[in-house]
Amino acid sequence: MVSYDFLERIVLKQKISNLKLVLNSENFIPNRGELIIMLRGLEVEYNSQELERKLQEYATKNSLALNSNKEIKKGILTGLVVSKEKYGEYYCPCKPLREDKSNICPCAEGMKELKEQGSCYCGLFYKKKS
Amino acid sequence: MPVKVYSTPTCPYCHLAKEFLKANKVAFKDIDVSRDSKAAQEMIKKSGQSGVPVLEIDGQIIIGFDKEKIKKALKLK
Repeated sequence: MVSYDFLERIVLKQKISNLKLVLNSENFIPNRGELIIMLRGLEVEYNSQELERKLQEYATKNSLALNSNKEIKKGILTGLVVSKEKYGEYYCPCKPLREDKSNICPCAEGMKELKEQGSCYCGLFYKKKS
Repeated sequence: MPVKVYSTPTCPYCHLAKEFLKANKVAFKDIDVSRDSKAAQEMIKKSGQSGVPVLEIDGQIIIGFDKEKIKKALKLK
């Protein structure tokens, strides 16, 4: 059975393609700025969903959970997506960048914090409640 | 009252902290530690850890967006 998340991603991808077509057309677009912002928002949302899917897989494999607060989770995922765009890697958004790439999410330091405090500093990963 | 915010551009809690200060009309110096290792080291030295945001309010160090601690340090109601 096709999941809702999967369909949602397909719809988002379609919206992104449609907007790109409009933006790349030679016709005059009176509100091009708004369309660019809309496209940017959709792309970040799409990439955040893709990343969440991967991190959820990691969490499940390691008996962890992602933050159940949707707003906080969305904020951190957006930070990670922007980090990937700006710096080329999913660096922890809540720590300074490390040249040795040791704080790419999910990072070793975060997993250590999780063991000691129950969650990583960012609050993306939590110990699963037993 | 001098206020410094050590932050990164991608951290959601840093945005919340800065929005909170702006909403309360508190002037602050924003220090981006994401790629400034000198500033990052200064922050780690002061706070004893590497997570952001770190707020320095009149010499007092507050780790994370802790609204109550920030209000207390700024003497806000």
